[in-house]
Amino acid sequence: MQIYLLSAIGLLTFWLFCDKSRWRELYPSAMFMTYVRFVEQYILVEILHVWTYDNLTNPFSSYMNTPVIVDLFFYSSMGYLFVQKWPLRRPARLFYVVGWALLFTIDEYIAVLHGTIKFKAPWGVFESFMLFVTALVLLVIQYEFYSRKFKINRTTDPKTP
Amino acid sequence: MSYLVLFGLSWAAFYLLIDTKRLQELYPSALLSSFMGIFTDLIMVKYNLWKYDSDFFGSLEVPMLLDLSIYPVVAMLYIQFFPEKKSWAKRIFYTACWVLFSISLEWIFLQRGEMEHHMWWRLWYSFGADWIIYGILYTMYRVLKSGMPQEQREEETPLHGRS
Repeated sequence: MQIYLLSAIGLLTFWLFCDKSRWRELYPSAMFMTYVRFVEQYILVEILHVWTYDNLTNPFSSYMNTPVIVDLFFYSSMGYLFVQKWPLRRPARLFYVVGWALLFTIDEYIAVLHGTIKFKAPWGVFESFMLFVTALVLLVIQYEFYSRKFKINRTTDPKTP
Repeated sequence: MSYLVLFGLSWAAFYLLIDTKRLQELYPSALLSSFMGIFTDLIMVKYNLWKYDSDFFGSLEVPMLLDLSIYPVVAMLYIQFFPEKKSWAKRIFYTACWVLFSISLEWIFLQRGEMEHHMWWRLWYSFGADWIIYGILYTMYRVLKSGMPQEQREEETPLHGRS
């Protein structure tokens, strides 16, 4: 149930809050967020088994051991929105990253409480939080790299807000 | 060991051939290629259509190595040298060369016993899949490029490597 809810939240968020006019600039960030999730699932779930998914009910569960629709719809939208709203000031950026990482961690903790995710020691909520912080920092780094040209264009073109 | 050599050769090709001034433009293609790679790898863990074998790495580690080397590098090279201003026939011939390169590499790994096909998967399906993958890479590149800032498009120097 949580898997479908998160996927719906992801799609609704994209529809309601994401700036579609900037999709060429922000699409790599959406893809990068899902890509990082896939890499995490591959290394941490399939190779190292630091957590497992139980009772997966998503449509691809007979083909994959991971909640793929959450990674495809929820995390891509969140990555898009996260970068779209990236603050300009440095202290705000710190709280922004920590806030988003906390939201993702709470979502994951709910899945742990429902028994969808089972952590294997020594992995726990703190490690998940640090993993989300790392993913978000990487997301920002790749965005800063890719969007440099778009930013130059925005600052030199007086017509562009 | 072959996969480690392939990893090294891929990044050597990146160092020698990629036009670093176009990295921002090529980056989405590299990411998309790696993304498609890891997505299929996640499926292949459970739905075992093909499997890698290596003396040096476990069968699950090899795909990760490929996702972080040959897939993104080949995607960048394919896009960088794409003959955009040439005829459709030349573009198709160019893509066919890359498909041939990819399928030959897969055939070599199959012959060496470092890769196995299972169930209904055949080399011909890989051949078809390669055309689709290169098609997706080029289509996404075109779509993104059409909306890039003019300044960036003017800087592009197709068919030229690092100068």
